Amino acid sequence: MIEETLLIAQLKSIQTKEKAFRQLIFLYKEPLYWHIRKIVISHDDADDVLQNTFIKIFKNIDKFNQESKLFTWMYRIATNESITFINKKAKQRNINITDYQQELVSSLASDDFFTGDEIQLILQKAIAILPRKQQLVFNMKYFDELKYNEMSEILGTTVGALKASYFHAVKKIESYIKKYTD
Amino acid sequence: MENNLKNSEAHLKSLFEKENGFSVPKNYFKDTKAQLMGFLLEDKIVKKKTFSTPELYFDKTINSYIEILF
Repeated sequence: MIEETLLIAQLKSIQTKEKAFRQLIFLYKEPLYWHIRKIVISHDDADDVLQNTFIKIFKNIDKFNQESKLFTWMYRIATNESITFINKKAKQRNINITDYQQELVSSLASDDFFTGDEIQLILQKAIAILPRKQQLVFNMKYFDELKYNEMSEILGTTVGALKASYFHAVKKIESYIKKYTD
Repeated sequence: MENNLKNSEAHLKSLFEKENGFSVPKNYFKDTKAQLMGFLLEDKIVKKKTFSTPELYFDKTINSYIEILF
C-alpha cells in the first residue's frame, strides 16, 4: 500500500493527480460508501453522496494540510455530505429529520439491497430514533470499529463525550430491542 | 516545582491511600460490563452486513468518477 505522504504529494501534483486519484478511490471507496450508507440508508442515495464526497475531496485536496490523517479527513467530508443530504431531503419533504429517517428505515423491509432479518430491521429502527450524534457514534464504533480518538478527530467531539454518547446509544438500542422482541 | 508537587502527592497518598471516598454497589462494574458486553456479543449476529449493493457496483465506481473529474 502506497505510503500516505507520497499519495498526498501525488494527489497535489498535476502530473500524477489522475493516477493518484484512481488509487485513492480504489483504496477508500468501500469504507466511505458503507459509512455513508449507514446514514442515508438507501443505496441510490449512498451512491449520490459518495460521488459528492469524492468530488469534494478532489476539489479540496490542495487545501489538505495533513493535520489529521487522510482517511480521517475524507471520513469527515463523507459524514458532512451525508448529513447535508438527509437534511436537504427532509426539508424537501417538509418533515423533521427523525421522521424522515424513520420513513427510510420503514421501507427497508421491501428494499432489494437490504439483506437483514427481522432483528436487524429492528436494530436499524432503533438506530433511526437516536439523536444524530448518538447515531453517528454508534455506527462508527459498533459497525466500523473506529477508535475513540479517530472519531474525536472526525466529529470534533471529545473522547469523553463520545464514550458517553456511545453508552447512551447502546442502552437506548438495547431497551428498544427488548421492547419489540419480548 | 515538580518536586513540590510530588511531595504533596506523596503526602496526600500517605493520608488517604489514594482513596477518594466514593464507593459503588457490590459487583457494579462487573454487572454493567457484563450487561453491555452481553448485549454486544449477542449482537455479533446482528453485526453482519445487512445492506448490499448492485452487482459489480464498486468495480464501476473508479472509472465513472475519473470520467467526471478529468
